[in-house]
Amino acid sequence: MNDHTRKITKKIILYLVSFFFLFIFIYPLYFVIISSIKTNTEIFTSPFKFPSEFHFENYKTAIEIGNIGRQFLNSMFLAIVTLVLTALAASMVSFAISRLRFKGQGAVRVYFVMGMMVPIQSIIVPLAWAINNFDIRDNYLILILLFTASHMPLATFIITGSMNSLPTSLEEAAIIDGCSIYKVFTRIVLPLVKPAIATVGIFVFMYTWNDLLVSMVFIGKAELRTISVGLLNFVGARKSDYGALMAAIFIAILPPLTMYLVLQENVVKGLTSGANK
Amino acid sequence: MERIRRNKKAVLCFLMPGFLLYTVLLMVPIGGSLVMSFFKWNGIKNVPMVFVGFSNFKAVITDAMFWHSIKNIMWFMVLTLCTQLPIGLLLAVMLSERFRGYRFFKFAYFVPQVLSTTVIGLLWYFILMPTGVLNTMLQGIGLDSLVKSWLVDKNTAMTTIILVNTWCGIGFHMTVSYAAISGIPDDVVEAAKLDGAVGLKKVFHIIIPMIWESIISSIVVIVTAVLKTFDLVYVMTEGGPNGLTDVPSTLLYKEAFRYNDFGKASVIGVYIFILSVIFTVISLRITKRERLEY
Repeated sequence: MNDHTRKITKKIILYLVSFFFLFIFIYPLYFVIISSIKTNTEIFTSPFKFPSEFHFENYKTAIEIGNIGRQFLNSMFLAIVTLVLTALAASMVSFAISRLRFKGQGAVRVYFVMGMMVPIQSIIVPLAWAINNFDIRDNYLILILLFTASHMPLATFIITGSMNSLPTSLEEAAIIDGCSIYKVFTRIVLPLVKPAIATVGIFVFMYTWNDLLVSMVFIGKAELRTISVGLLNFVGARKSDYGALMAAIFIAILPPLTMYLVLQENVVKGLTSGANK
Repeated sequence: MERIRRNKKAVLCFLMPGFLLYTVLLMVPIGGSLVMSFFKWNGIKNVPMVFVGFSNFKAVITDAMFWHSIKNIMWFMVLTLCTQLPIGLLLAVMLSERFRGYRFFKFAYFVPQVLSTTVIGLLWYFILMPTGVLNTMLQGIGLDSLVKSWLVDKNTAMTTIILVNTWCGIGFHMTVSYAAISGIPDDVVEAAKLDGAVGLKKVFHIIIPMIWESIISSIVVIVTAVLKTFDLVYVMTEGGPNGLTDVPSTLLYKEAFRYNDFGKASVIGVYIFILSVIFTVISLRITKRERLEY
């Protein structure tokens, strides 16, 4: 085999394997999209074919009977508020850890890192106890604070890392010019760690949007359900209305998918940020 | 300068909101979980908790279902490590050839990572159910003998869930490995090429040793993530049929919210937490030792 044919065989193999995996990773998504506009019988008899006619009434069923629209807004609200709160609280803590000087600074840093080892399931039982005894079921504020607390360790870790890599000369010049420590935070440090905050924002949004367990335990009222819980309930209620279920699923993946299409590498960075701890 | 950085009021101002939130809503509950594992409680308001000593721990330790769930989670870890990691690495090596269109493939392979586990669970449930896409497909190509109730059959249920989980995570490990491969200095690659390290030789003698640190960090991620698995199993089988596919966290959920045994559920929570700490510490130890010098 000469060099040229070897190169060509290599190319062919590369593309064959690439397309094989493309099918494996993308087919389920394709299946959701085409099935969401098919009739029930057509979904499973021809799972690869493009629909013969478009049945948009599946979306109507998902929204009217599944109440997916309301749940979409609920999850959106929770995810966005949690994102803002986490970014704010974690930036402030990071600033204290990275820039201020106080007793027990090292211990505080370790204390926040420790939280990364806490599996959320381990706090579900005390949570259920608190829900019963303090009457906080369906309280969105508490739910948001709970999400925020659970994202604090990773968020603080990422932002502290970014702040530590900044030179201190800029702030010191500002302080000499009479700038207060609060202004140093808002005017100098925060703008410089924007990329880290964006990374945190993306993973907090995704994780909150995708949460199932905490919302399942915490929320009782149907109109307050998040999209993941709503989807499960809809599946339970309309067991064999596959078209409508697929429409509901497609609605549920729209925000994260759009975010990925628009922000691409930033989303990848946000979702793999846990790997470098 | 130092005086300003040591300003106590500023320290409190910046630290307290996050510190309180984190302490009250994450760290205190972990302590609470430990406390509750010594009590019996049925989850009903105003019903007092009764101190029962270690009997919850004993009940869990002697429960065959618990050991079955531990067995499942161990199989989960092993199979995930043996599939997610090598396939992720294979794709990363392939993509680092930078052939035409590699960016598109890299983008597409990461898509499952963006979807929620609930959605993934439902999606694959519809593909794998008895009348689902997979069985239709198998029948279509004449492999009727392979048609199965993938998520019910006791030989396939757990493994099927694990492979769906593998599907979700490959993109993650591909991305991490790809970044590491891109970080290998060019002169190393060139020198290796001159020494005749191409193809598989290059992968095993150059790439893998050079990105060893990133592989270890992938292993840490897999082990700790698998331990936390809840959504996927809950959505696809709810741990059923008859506890066949239970993992510790679905068992915890059922003990608490189906059987109203919050004491026993707490104990499982404590075990998951302890396992998580042990695995993390072990993995971090290994990472430190294996750090490659070059």
